[in-house]
Amino acid sequence: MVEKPVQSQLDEGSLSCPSCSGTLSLSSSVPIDLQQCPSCLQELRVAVFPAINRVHGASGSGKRLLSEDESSCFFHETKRAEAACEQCGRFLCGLCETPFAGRVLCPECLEQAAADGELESLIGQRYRHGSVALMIALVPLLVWPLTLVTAPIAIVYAIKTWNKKGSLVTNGRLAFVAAIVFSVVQIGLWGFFGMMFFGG
Amino acid sequence: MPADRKYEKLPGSGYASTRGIVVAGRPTRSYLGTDHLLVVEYPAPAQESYRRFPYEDIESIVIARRTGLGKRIVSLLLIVVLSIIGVFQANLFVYVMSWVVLVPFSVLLMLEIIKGPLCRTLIRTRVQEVELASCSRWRAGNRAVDLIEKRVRAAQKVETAIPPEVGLSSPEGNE
Repeated sequence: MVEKPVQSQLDEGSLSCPSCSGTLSLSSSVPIDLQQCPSCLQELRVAVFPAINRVHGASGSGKRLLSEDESSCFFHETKRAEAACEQCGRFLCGLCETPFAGRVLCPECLEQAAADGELESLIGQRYRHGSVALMIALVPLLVWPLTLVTAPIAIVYAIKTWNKKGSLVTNGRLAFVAAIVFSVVQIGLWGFFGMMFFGG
Repeated sequence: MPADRKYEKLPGSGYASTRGIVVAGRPTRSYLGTDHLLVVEYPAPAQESYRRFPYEDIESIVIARRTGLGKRIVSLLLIVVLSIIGVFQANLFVYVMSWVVLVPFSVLLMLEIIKGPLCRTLIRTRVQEVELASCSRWRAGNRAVDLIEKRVRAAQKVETAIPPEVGLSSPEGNE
Protein backbone atom coordinates (compact mmCIF):
# COMPACT_ATOMS: atom_id res chain seq x y z
CA MET A 1 0.00 0.00 0.00
CA VAL A 2 1.39 3.40 -0.93
CA GLU A 3 1.07 5.83 1.95
CA LYS A 4 -0.14 9.30 1.15
CA PRO A 5 2.53 11.93 1.80
CA VAL A 6 1.69 14.44 4.48
CA GLN A 7 2.15 18.03 3.41
CA SER A 8 4.16 20.36 5.57
CA GLN A 9 1.93 22.49 7.77
CA LEU A 10 3.97 25.55 6.86
CA ASP A 11 4.15 27.21 3.45
CA GLU A 12 6.07 25.04 1.04
CA GLY A 13 8.79 26.68 -0.99
CA SER A 14 8.97 29.87 1.03
CA LEU A 15 10.40 31.20 4.26
CA SER A 16 9.51 34.22 6.37
CA CYS A 17 11.77 37.20 6.84
CA PRO A 18 12.32 37.53 10.62
CA SER A 19 12.41 41.29 10.29
CA CYS A 20 9.29 42.11 8.25
CA SER A 21 7.57 38.68 8.07
CA GLY A 22 7.66 39.03 4.27
CA THR A 23 7.85 35.95 2.12
CA LEU A 24 11.22 34.71 0.92
CA SER A 25 10.74 32.36 -2.01
CA LEU A 26 13.16 29.54 -2.54
CA SER A 27 14.50 29.12 -6.06
CA SER A 28 17.58 27.74 -7.76
CA SER A 29 18.74 31.05 -9.15
CA VAL A 30 20.73 32.55 -6.31
CA PRO A 31 23.14 30.76 -3.96
CA ILE A 32 22.36 31.11 -0.30
CA ASP A 33 24.65 33.44 1.61
CA LEU A 34 24.35 36.78 3.36
CA GLN A 35 21.62 38.58 1.45
CA GLN A 36 18.99 41.22 1.71
CA CYS A 37 15.31 40.70 2.25
CA PRO A 38 13.57 41.80 -0.96
CA SER A 39 10.81 43.49 1.08
CA CYS A 40 12.54 45.32 3.94
CA LEU A 41 16.10 45.26 2.53
CA GLN A 42 17.49 44.09 5.88
CA GLU A 43 20.65 41.98 5.80
CA LEU A 44 19.77 38.30 5.97
CA ARG A 45 21.48 35.01 6.42
CA VAL A 46 19.54 31.96 5.34
CA ALA A 47 20.45 28.37 6.05
CA VAL A 48 18.24 25.81 4.35
CA PHE A 49 18.60 22.12 5.06
CA PRO A 50 17.51 19.01 3.12
CA ALA A 51 14.72 18.36 5.63
CA ILE A 52 12.75 21.08 3.86
CA ASN A 53 12.38 18.78 0.84
CA ARG A 54 11.57 15.70 2.87
CA VAL A 55 8.27 14.00 2.09
CA HIS A 56 6.69 12.65 5.23
CA GLY A 57 4.74 9.47 5.09
CA ALA A 58 1.52 9.14 7.07
CA SER A 59 1.91 7.01 10.19
CA GLY A 60 0.64 3.47 9.81
CA SER A 61 -2.81 2.67 11.04
CA GLY A 62 -2.05 -1.02 11.54
CA LYS A 63 -2.79 -4.03 9.35
CA ARG A 64 -5.82 -6.23 9.85
CA LEU A 65 -5.49 -9.82 11.08
CA LEU A 66 -5.62 -12.26 8.16
CA SER A 67 -6.01 -15.44 10.21
CA GLU A 68 -6.64 -16.40 13.84
CA ASP A 69 -3.11 -17.85 14.14
CA GLU A 70 -1.54 -14.43 13.93
CA SER A 71 -0.76 -12.46 17.07
CA SER A 72 -2.92 -9.42 17.57
CA CYS A 73 -2.21 -6.02 19.05
CA PHE A 74 -2.81 -5.75 22.80
CA PHE A 75 -4.82 -2.56 22.33
CA HIS A 76 -6.56 -3.46 19.02
CA GLU A 77 -7.76 -7.09 18.78
CA THR A 78 -8.44 -6.89 15.05
CA LYS A 79 -4.98 -5.55 14.13
CA ARG A 80 -1.90 -7.67 13.45
CA ALA A 81 1.02 -7.37 15.92
CA GLU A 82 4.03 -5.81 14.24
CA ALA A 83 6.29 -5.07 17.20
CA ALA A 84 6.60 -5.58 20.94
CA CYS A 85 6.95 -2.88 23.57
CA GLU A 86 10.50 -2.92 24.90
CA GLN A 87 9.27 -1.91 28.35
CA CYS A 88 6.27 -4.18 29.04
CA GLY A 89 6.51 -6.70 26.18
CA ARG A 90 2.97 -6.17 24.89
CA PHE A 91 2.39 -6.83 21.20
CA LEU A 92 1.66 -3.69 19.22
CA CYS A 93 0.15 -2.91 15.83
CA GLY A 94 1.50 -0.23 13.49
CA LEU A 95 -0.70 2.37 15.14
CA CYS A 96 0.37 1.68 18.72
CA GLU A 97 4.05 1.12 17.98
CA THR A 98 5.77 4.32 19.15
CA PRO A 99 9.45 4.65 18.30
CA PHE A 100 11.01 7.01 20.81
CA ALA A 101 14.66 7.78 21.58
CA GLY A 102 15.83 4.59 19.88
CA ARG A 103 13.28 2.37 21.64
CA VAL A 104 9.87 1.03 20.71
CA LEU A 105 7.30 1.68 23.41
CA CYS A 106 3.56 1.28 23.75
CA PRO A 107 1.51 4.45 24.41
CA GLU A 108 0.93 3.47 28.06
CA CYS A 109 4.63 2.94 28.81
CA LEU A 110 5.50 6.16 27.04
CA GLU A 111 2.94 8.06 29.10
CA GLN A 112 4.16 6.43 32.30
CA ALA A 113 7.80 7.15 31.51
CA ALA A 114 6.97 10.77 30.77
CA ALA A 115 5.05 11.09 34.04
CA ASP A 116 7.90 9.52 36.03
CA GLY A 117 10.51 11.72 34.34
CA GLU A 118 12.41 8.64 33.15
CA LEU A 119 12.76 9.87 29.57
CA GLU A 120 14.97 12.91 29.56
CA SER A 121 13.77 13.88 26.10
CA LEU A 122 10.26 14.44 27.48
CA ILE A 123 11.18 16.58 30.46
CA GLY A 124 9.48 19.93 29.99
CA GLN A 125 10.72 21.76 33.05
CA ARG A 126 12.95 21.41 36.05
CA TYR A 127 13.74 23.33 39.22
CA ARG A 128 17.26 24.32 40.17
CA HIS A 129 17.11 23.22 43.77
CA GLY A 130 20.53 24.69 44.50
CA SER A 131 19.28 28.12 43.47
CA VAL A 132 16.16 27.69 45.60
CA ALA A 133 18.34 26.83 48.62
CA LEU A 134 20.56 29.83 47.89
CA MET A 135 17.54 32.12 47.67
CA ILE A 136 16.23 30.81 51.00
CA ALA A 137 19.65 31.59 52.46
CA LEU A 138 20.16 35.03 50.91
CA VAL A 139 16.82 36.78 50.31
CA PRO A 140 15.89 36.95 54.05
CA LEU A 141 19.06 39.01 54.62
CA LEU A 142 16.90 41.96 53.51
CA VAL A 143 14.92 41.42 56.72
CA TRP A 144 17.82 39.98 58.67
CA PRO A 145 16.01 38.73 61.85
CA LEU A 146 14.30 36.19 59.59
CA THR A 147 17.64 34.47 59.02
CA LEU A 148 17.34 32.90 62.46
CA VAL A 149 14.62 30.71 60.96
CA THR A 150 15.57 30.61 57.28
CA ALA A 151 19.25 29.63 57.68
CA PRO A 152 18.44 26.18 59.17
CA ILE A 153 15.64 25.78 56.59
CA ALA A 154 18.11 26.47 53.76
CA ILE A 155 20.54 23.85 55.11
CA VAL A 156 17.80 21.22 55.48
CA TYR A 157 16.44 22.01 52.00
CA ALA A 158 19.92 21.81 50.44
CA ILE A 159 20.66 18.46 52.06
CA LYS A 160 17.23 17.01 51.19
CA THR A 161 17.36 18.05 47.54
CA TRP A 162 21.13 17.46 47.00
CA ASN A 163 20.51 14.29 44.99
CA LYS A 164 17.24 15.37 43.34
CA LYS A 165 17.30 15.78 39.58
CA GLY A 166 17.80 19.43 38.77
CA SER A 167 18.82 21.44 35.75
CA LEU A 168 19.57 19.60 32.51
CA VAL A 169 22.21 22.12 31.50
CA THR A 170 24.07 23.13 34.64
CA ASN A 171 25.55 21.18 37.49
CA GLY A 172 24.20 23.36 40.29
CA ARG A 173 26.35 21.86 43.07
CA LEU A 174 28.06 25.22 43.61
CA ALA A 175 24.73 26.81 44.53
CA PHE A 176 24.08 24.06 47.10
CA VAL A 177 27.52 24.55 48.65
CA ALA A 178 27.11 28.35 48.68
CA ALA A 179 23.68 28.03 50.31
CA ILE A 180 25.04 25.75 53.04
CA VAL A 181 28.10 27.97 53.64
CA PHE A 182 26.02 31.17 53.87
CA SER A 183 23.52 29.49 56.19
CA VAL A 184 26.26 28.11 58.45
CA VAL A 185 27.84 31.60 58.64
CA GLN A 186 24.45 33.10 59.53
CA ILE A 187 23.87 30.51 62.25
CA GLY A 188 27.43 31.08 63.49
CA LEU A 189 26.82 34.83 63.70
CA TRP A 190 23.55 34.27 65.58
CA GLY A 191 25.42 31.99 67.97
CA PHE A 192 28.24 34.51 68.40
CA PHE A 193 25.94 37.45 69.12
CA GLY A 194 23.77 35.23 71.32
CA MET A 195 26.83 34.37 73.41
CA MET A 196 27.82 38.06 73.55
CA PHE A 197 24.46 39.27 74.83
CA PHE A 198 23.21 36.37 76.91
CA GLY A 199 26.36 34.47 77.76
CA GLY A 200 27.60 37.07 80.13
CA MET B 1 32.15 19.03 24.56
CA PRO B 2 33.47 17.35 27.72
CA ALA B 3 32.26 13.77 28.16
CA ASP B 4 30.45 14.54 31.43
CA ARG B 5 28.39 17.37 29.91
CA LYS B 6 25.44 16.65 27.69
CA TYR B 7 24.89 20.18 26.47
CA GLU B 8 27.16 22.84 25.02
CA LYS B 9 26.14 26.43 25.61
CA LEU B 10 25.65 28.54 22.50
CA PRO B 11 26.77 32.15 22.32
CA GLY B 12 24.15 34.77 23.03
CA SER B 13 21.18 35.18 25.29
CA GLY B 14 17.94 37.07 24.99
CA TYR B 15 14.41 37.47 26.21
CA ALA B 16 11.48 35.46 24.90
CA SER B 17 8.49 37.75 24.68
CA THR B 18 5.48 37.05 26.84
CA ARG B 19 2.38 37.74 24.75
CA GLY B 20 4.37 40.12 22.60
CA ILE B 21 5.83 42.07 25.51
CA VAL B 22 9.60 41.65 25.41
CA VAL B 23 10.17 43.76 28.54
CA ALA B 24 8.28 41.19 30.61
CA GLY B 25 9.95 38.35 28.72
CA ARG B 26 11.66 35.29 30.04
CA PRO B 27 15.47 35.05 29.85
CA THR B 28 16.46 32.47 27.25
CA ARG B 29 19.59 30.55 26.36
CA SER B 30 20.25 27.84 23.79
CA TYR B 31 22.33 24.70 24.09
CA LEU B 32 23.59 22.11 21.63
CA GLY B 33 22.68 18.57 22.58
CA THR B 34 23.84 15.37 20.94
CA ASP B 35 20.82 15.10 18.66
CA HIS B 36 18.81 18.23 19.34
CA LEU B 37 18.95 21.94 19.96
CA LEU B 38 17.72 22.75 23.45
CA VAL B 39 16.16 26.13 24.15
CA VAL B 40 15.98 26.89 27.86
CA GLU B 41 13.67 29.57 29.19
CA TYR B 42 13.76 30.78 32.77
CA PRO B 43 10.16 31.67 33.72
CA ALA B 44 11.15 32.05 37.40
CA PRO B 45 14.54 32.53 39.09
CA ALA B 46 15.02 28.86 39.93
CA GLN B 47 12.92 27.28 37.19
CA GLU B 48 13.88 26.13 33.72
CA SER B 49 11.54 25.14 30.90
CA TYR B 50 12.78 23.29 27.85
CA ARG B 51 12.00 23.17 24.14
CA ARG B 52 13.76 20.73 21.87
CA PHE B 53 14.43 20.92 18.14
CA PRO B 54 15.86 17.65 16.75
CA TYR B 55 18.61 18.44 14.23
CA GLU B 56 16.99 16.05 11.78
CA ASP B 57 13.78 18.06 11.75
CA ILE B 58 15.24 21.54 11.30
CA GLU B 59 14.36 22.78 7.83
CA SER B 60 15.82 26.27 7.89
CA ILE B 61 17.30 29.00 10.02
CA VAL B 62 16.88 32.62 8.94
CA ILE B 63 18.65 35.40 10.76
CA ALA B 64 17.89 39.04 9.96
CA ARG B 65 19.91 42.00 11.11
CA ARG B 66 18.08 44.87 12.82
CA THR B 67 19.58 48.28 13.17
CA GLY B 68 18.21 49.25 16.58
CA LEU B 69 18.95 52.77 15.40
CA GLY B 70 15.91 54.29 17.14
CA LYS B 71 17.10 53.22 20.59
CA ARG B 72 20.58 54.57 19.99
CA ILE B 73 19.38 57.91 18.65
CA VAL B 74 17.04 58.38 21.64
CA SER B 75 19.88 57.49 24.07
CA LEU B 76 22.31 59.78 22.28
CA LEU B 77 19.82 62.66 22.28
CA LEU B 78 19.20 62.19 26.02
CA ILE B 79 22.93 62.19 26.68
CA VAL B 80 23.45 65.37 24.65
CA VAL B 81 20.52 67.16 26.32
CA LEU B 82 21.60 66.10 29.82
CA SER B 83 25.19 67.10 29.11
CA ILE B 84 24.09 70.57 28.01
CA ILE B 85 21.88 70.93 31.11
CA GLY B 86 24.68 69.66 33.35
CA VAL B 87 27.42 71.88 31.94
CA PHE B 88 25.47 75.14 31.82
CA GLN B 89 23.54 74.74 35.06
CA ALA B 90 24.39 76.99 37.98
CA ASN B 91 22.12 75.17 40.42
CA LEU B 92 24.22 72.49 42.14
CA PHE B 93 21.30 70.08 42.69
CA VAL B 94 20.23 70.12 39.03
CA TYR B 95 23.91 69.89 38.01
CA VAL B 96 24.44 66.76 40.17
CA MET B 97 21.13 65.17 39.20
CA SER B 98 21.77 65.60 35.49
CA TRP B 99 25.11 63.81 35.88
CA VAL B 100 23.46 61.09 38.00
CA VAL B 101 21.11 60.38 35.08
CA LEU B 102 23.76 60.98 32.41
CA VAL B 103 26.30 58.43 33.62
CA PRO B 104 24.01 55.33 33.55
CA PHE B 105 22.64 56.34 30.14
CA SER B 106 26.15 56.70 28.75
CA VAL B 107 27.19 53.34 30.18
CA LEU B 108 24.10 51.68 28.72
CA LEU B 109 24.74 53.24 25.33
CA MET B 110 28.37 52.09 25.41
CA LEU B 111 27.27 48.56 26.31
CA GLU B 112 24.71 48.62 23.51
CA ILE B 113 27.38 49.67 21.02
CA ILE B 114 29.85 47.04 22.27
CA LYS B 115 27.27 44.26 22.06
CA GLY B 116 26.67 45.13 18.42
CA PRO B 117 23.61 45.25 16.20
CA LEU B 118 20.43 43.41 17.02
CA CYS B 119 18.95 40.60 14.99
CA ARG B 120 15.96 38.31 14.89
CA THR B 121 16.31 34.59 14.23
CA LEU B 122 13.62 32.21 13.04
CA ILE B 123 14.05 28.46 13.16
CA ARG B 124 11.71 26.33 11.14
CA THR B 125 10.79 22.68 11.49
CA ARG B 126 8.09 20.79 9.66
CA VAL B 127 5.38 21.86 12.09
CA GLN B 128 6.48 25.19 13.49
CA GLU B 129 8.42 28.35 12.88
CA VAL B 130 9.63 29.93 16.10
CA GLU B 131 11.88 32.77 17.10
CA LEU B 132 15.19 31.80 18.67
CA ALA B 133 15.24 34.50 21.31
CA SER B 134 18.77 33.69 22.46
CA CYS B 135 20.10 34.79 19.06
CA SER B 136 19.21 38.43 19.49
CA ARG B 137 22.58 39.97 18.59
CA TRP B 138 23.93 39.78 15.06
CA ARG B 139 27.50 38.72 15.90
CA ALA B 140 26.65 36.22 18.64
CA GLY B 141 23.65 35.03 16.61
CA ASN B 142 25.82 34.29 13.60
CA ARG B 143 28.31 32.38 15.74
CA ALA B 144 25.45 30.36 17.23
CA VAL B 145 23.93 29.68 13.81
CA ASP B 146 27.36 28.48 12.57
CA LEU B 147 27.48 25.91 15.36
CA ILE B 148 23.86 24.82 14.90
CA GLU B 149 24.38 24.55 11.13
CA LYS B 150 27.31 22.17 11.59
CA ARG B 151 25.23 19.85 13.77
CA VAL B 152 22.20 19.99 11.47
CA ARG B 153 24.31 19.29 8.39
CA ALA B 154 25.95 16.35 10.15
CA ALA B 155 22.56 15.01 11.27
CA GLN B 156 21.03 15.41 7.82
CA LYS B 157 24.24 14.15 6.18
CA VAL B 158 24.95 17.22 4.05
CA GLU B 159 28.45 17.21 2.62
CA THR B 160 28.44 20.52 0.76
CA ALA B 161 28.33 23.84 2.55
CA ILE B 162 25.35 25.02 0.52
CA PRO B 163 22.55 22.63 -0.35
CA PRO B 164 22.12 22.59 -4.12
CA GLU B 165 18.99 23.61 -5.98
CA VAL B 166 17.90 26.08 -3.34
CA GLY B 167 18.34 29.82 -3.31
CA LEU B 168 16.59 33.03 -2.45
CA SER B 169 14.67 35.07 -4.91
CA SER B 170 12.32 37.96 -4.63
CA PRO B 171 8.73 36.73 -4.80
CA GLU B 172 6.35 38.37 -7.18
CA GLY B 173 4.58 41.40 -5.82
CA ASN B 174 7.03 41.70 -3.00
CA GLU B 175 9.28 44.28 -4.55
